[in-house]
Amino acid sequence: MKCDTGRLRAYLDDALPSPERDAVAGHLAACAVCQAELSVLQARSVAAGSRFAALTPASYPSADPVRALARFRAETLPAPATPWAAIRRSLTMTKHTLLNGRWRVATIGMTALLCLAVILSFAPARQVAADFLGLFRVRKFAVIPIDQAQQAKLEALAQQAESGQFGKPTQVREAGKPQPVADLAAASKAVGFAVRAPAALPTGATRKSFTVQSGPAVHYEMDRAMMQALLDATQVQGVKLPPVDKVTIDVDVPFAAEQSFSIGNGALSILQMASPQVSIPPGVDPAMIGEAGFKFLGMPDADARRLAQSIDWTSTLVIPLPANVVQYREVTVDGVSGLLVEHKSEKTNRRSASLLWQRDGVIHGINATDVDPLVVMQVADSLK
Amino acid sequence: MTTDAWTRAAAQTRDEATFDALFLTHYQPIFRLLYRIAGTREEAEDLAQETFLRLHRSPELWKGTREKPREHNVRAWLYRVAANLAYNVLRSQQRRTRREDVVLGQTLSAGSWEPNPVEAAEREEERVAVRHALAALPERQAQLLLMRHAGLSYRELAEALGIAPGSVGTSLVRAEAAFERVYQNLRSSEGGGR
Repeated sequence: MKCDTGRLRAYLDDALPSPERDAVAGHLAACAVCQAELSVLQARSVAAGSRFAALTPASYPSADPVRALARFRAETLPAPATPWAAIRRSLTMTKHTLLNGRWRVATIGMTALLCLAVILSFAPARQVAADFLGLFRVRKFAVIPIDQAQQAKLEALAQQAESGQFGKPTQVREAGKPQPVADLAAASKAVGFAVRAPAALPTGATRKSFTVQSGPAVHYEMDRAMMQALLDATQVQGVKLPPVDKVTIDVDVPFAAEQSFSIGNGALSILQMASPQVSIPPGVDPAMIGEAGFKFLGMPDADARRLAQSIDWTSTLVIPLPANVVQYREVTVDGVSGLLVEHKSEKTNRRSASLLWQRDGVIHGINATDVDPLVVMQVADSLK
Repeated sequence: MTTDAWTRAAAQTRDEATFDALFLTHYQPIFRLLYRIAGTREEAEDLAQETFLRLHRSPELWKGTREKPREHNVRAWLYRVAANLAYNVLRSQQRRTRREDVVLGQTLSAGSWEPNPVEAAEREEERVAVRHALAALPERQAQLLLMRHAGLSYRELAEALGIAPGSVGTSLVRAEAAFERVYQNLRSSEGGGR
């Protein structure tokens, strides 16, 4: 039998079938070279074992597989899904895409933007909000209530966009990873505007993290064939393509700062970012696209037109919300008008609240889980 | 309902039950592997969800067969996906930590693991070094070590990495040697810098 390091290693781990194991044992007894090698391998294996032991915590947090499976079924799995589950699923997937550094604008095809807006409007995940919050230059937020069937239509369209049917965006600059900062001064310096922190927090609140993150820049081109494909996919009637050969859209998402807190069993995070810039080319009428979007959602033509004309599309982020699963209302917060969205999960019994507003050119978002919405508003009002 | 529809519905129920069983069996060890690397419960849970989502999207591994799914295949597959996600986390955390060291003079800490602060600090140093060493290894070597130390057998490792069972020992020797070399380099450069 010849000396074989790999086989010795397997012998060490008792991973050889018995005839082979016996053969190695017999060989070892007679071969000093292999004996020496075995002890080297053993020492290294023991060393690696003790190094890896450092990664093992004193105790693991409890991980209840049944609860995890319930979450998986409720949030992560594809259809049949409630609108809320669909949103959460998109969110989970987006988050992991980001986490793995494979960020790209999955769904930037015109009308499908609306779908992204749904995702970010709930975004408890900072990455999603940081990257997507405002694919327009956001000044205001407006809500379009949608039902389950409409949500399904948006989902289907988003999936088509994701598969690249309407072209693929080019990543000009990747989104950065969140970087911890020490204080407000450091955060403000990094993001280029004055970051504010809450002056009042509920009792028992502890800061978990304070990070800044740079957003992505994306270039997207859509030629007439792709535009037509998108229009065909929406089956919207009576909409003409813009009189241009291709549409190019440049999206630049600047820095964002995020502060996360835990409050009892709940969590709250405050996101602040300068409004992203989106340059939309001449010849493209955003109101017409908005109108097409509303028609796509099934709104009668006249209503779609009236509503689309009433919105300042250059500064308003229109958020379709599944009205049967969330409550939303306009609120006065931080001295300006904002949007408060609330949801209670039937399955997990957890309450989420998202508060969105814009002040002094900075978009603010607070996402909270199991925190009273009134407290969320107080936190917003206390920003200094 | 037509007979076909019934058959389909029954098959679907059976498939879902198969998947649920796999989820419940493997969730905890997968979560723990991810927790050792991610360091927070939330991130480990999210990564575990992602791992099982990928399993769900690969029905050929578990769906439709009347016999029990090939258990060791699924286990090996899940560990490979989890080890891959963990490796990505290590790499991105390492990039982040480097930048902080330079830009902000801070180091990333996932928090204390022990009540004794001195021990905790030493352990943290060790943890950081191990993580950096793993992140510096080629992906397959890091994955192999992660999976081995999470308890996969040689047969499962071979399955996960798509290599012959007879080659696992050799791969492991190489990976351990590379790991120890990088680890010692890191520790000695740490010591020299102080």
